[in-house]
Amino acid sequence: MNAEIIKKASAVYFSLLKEKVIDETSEHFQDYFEPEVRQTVLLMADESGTYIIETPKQIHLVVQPTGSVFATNFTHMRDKHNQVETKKHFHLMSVVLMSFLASIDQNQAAKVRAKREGISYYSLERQVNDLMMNWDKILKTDPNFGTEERIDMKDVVTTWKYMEVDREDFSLKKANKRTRIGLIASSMRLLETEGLVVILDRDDIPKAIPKQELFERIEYLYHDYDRYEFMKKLVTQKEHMHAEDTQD
Amino acid sequence: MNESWEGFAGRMQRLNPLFELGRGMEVGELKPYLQTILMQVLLTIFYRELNDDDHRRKSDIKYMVEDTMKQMKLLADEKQVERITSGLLYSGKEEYSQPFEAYYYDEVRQSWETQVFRYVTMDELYTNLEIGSSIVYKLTDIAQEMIFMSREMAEEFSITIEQLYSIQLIKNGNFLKATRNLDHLISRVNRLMAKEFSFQQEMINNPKILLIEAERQRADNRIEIEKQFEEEKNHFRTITSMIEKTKRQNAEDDLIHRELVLLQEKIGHSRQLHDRFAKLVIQNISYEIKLKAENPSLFWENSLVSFREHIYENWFLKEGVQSFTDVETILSPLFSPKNEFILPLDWIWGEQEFDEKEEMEVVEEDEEKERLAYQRITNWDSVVKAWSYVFQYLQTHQEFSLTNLKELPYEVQDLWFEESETIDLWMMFDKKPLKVQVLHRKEETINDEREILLYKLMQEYPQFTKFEGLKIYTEFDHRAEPFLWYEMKITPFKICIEEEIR
Repeated sequence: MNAEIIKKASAVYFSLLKEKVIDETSEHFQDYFEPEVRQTVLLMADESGTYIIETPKQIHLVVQPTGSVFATNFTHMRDKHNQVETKKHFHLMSVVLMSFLASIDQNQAAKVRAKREGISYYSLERQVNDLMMNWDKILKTDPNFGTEERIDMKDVVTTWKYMEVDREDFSLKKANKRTRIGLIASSMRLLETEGLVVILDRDDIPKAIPKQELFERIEYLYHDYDRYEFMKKLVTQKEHMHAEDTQD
Repeated sequence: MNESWEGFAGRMQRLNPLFELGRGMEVGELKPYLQTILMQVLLTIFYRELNDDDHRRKSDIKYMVEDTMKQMKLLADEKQVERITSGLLYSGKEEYSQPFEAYYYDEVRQSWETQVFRYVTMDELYTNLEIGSSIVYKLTDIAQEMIFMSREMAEEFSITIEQLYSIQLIKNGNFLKATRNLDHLISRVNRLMAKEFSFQQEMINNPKILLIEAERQRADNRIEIEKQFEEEKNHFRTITSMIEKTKRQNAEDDLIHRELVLLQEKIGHSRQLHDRFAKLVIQNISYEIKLKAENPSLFWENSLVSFREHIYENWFLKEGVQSFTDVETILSPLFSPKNEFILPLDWIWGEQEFDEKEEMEVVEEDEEKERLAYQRITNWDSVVKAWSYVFQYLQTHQEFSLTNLKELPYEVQDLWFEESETIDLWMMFDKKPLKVQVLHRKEETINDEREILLYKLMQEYPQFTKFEGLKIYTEFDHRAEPFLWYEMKITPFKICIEEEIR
């Protein structure tokens, strides 16, 4: 491999690392699509535990599910909040994110237009609540209820159930993480800082409008069969390990 | 089947939005007037759209409701106005932002179906997604149709019919009406243009929509759209020449003349819009061809799995989670890697070098977090000790440059790092000149940290009471190079003292 290629490839890779997403106006965009450069960038990405997402107009850099040598916002956050209570808070945020993704995910692009309306925090709250109530049912009927491995889930469900939806007091509302809406707001803020959603009507009834970048990531990460199988394997593998642990 | 059934479902779907307008709102005695009020509000939005007026946010719609009611001599309190406004925007509770639903009977399928619709929707051309402000609303096709229907121009109304209608009106000398009619023509083009525009966006973002049947049909219709444009132009020509003729005939009549000029202007505007529209359509066709030629693979791949179904519904919702690490495994690739590492002190010093405003915002955020985490207690003894060297120097030399810090004895330099406050104070001095007046004050009443420092210095070292009444200011030496001091990049400036002019 010649030095010129490596130079170009690292220029592309490091600008991706800096910018997260580069679009066709970037000088690196063209460079990237030179076959050898692309190969090299992909190699660098893989070695550092990242994925490259190619779309007609943009290239994204994201971390792999198994983790990257670089910390992400997401892992960063968990590190910062290592007390039990905030960890629970973090879990809750993950749940909100899952629900949000599900509600904007679609196979037919035609539906995209309808989704441009955005999801109001309150309807997201309903959706998360439906999920929690379902989990509550599982926990109640499952014979393993209360055993070690589900303690996380139970905790999350209980916390959610006793959380106020909102505060009447407007001044408290904004930064309050103890309410459901506050929780949703901080989850959406996470996506907002990542450049994946836009928040509108912030002072009224806030709504999160998914950006194209988010659809692109969903498409790449979750709509690809091989990647789906890979993630499934990762998740079930861990479950097995866990199951063995408790048997011992 | 009885002919009365023909197209019944279609008719009902047209009428349902009218039937549903303002229904189910609890506004007491205002109930009988709701439809009239809301229709007027819809018209107001319609005309604002037409005139490129973006005052169509929720707050604006609220004013429209208020205005309309005032005009109609109706009384309402704040709550009722709120309710009527949100009732036009959403069905049911506003928080969930749900669309309206109505049933209709489908005569072909012989079943009851649900129709889902909204009266207003986000106007993508005007809503600023980048800034993330409020949503600007526009009428949906359904609401616009209601307005057309109310003009008894319901069925399949095409641009050409509109044209003929205008010509007819001009012939009858009803110019004002013809002008208004052109308004509708303009709105029609605007609408087509907006559709074409969003189709373009979607096509660029997600070329797969070109595979969806309905959209493909649209694409096939393109050539016809173009043909229609040609006809448009001819019609415009006819109208224009007719106007010219009428103008000549009624040269003395000022009123007619003015109306004609207005009409002419509108036609010009409308023609421009049509041209813009035509350009957009052609552009879209070329995009489409380009996409198909350059990225054929985009059209082959078909998602086998979806997040909603496979991950969320079948696993997450149904089974729950064993461990939240799994959830993290799934979610973390949504995020880009981040390797930020900012040396906090470096960053604080940076404030002097970069635009202050930008930095301020970042600092604020972090400070808030810190304040929540722990209350910082400053060890003033250490601060005072560190600074005593500076003031000692000041007393003899009248000025002290930051570069001198490096030349202080090592054990003194160490003092500077014991408390972050010590270094932070430098910035405070850089703000604005300080006239020292602390000697006879009580410590609790002093807010300025510089004054606190001076007060403490005077308490500790009586010789510093000489500073009372002097002015302390900073001077920036433009020629001086920033220097490094224990990994801090420092922009040197001088602290100086000035004796009061008596």
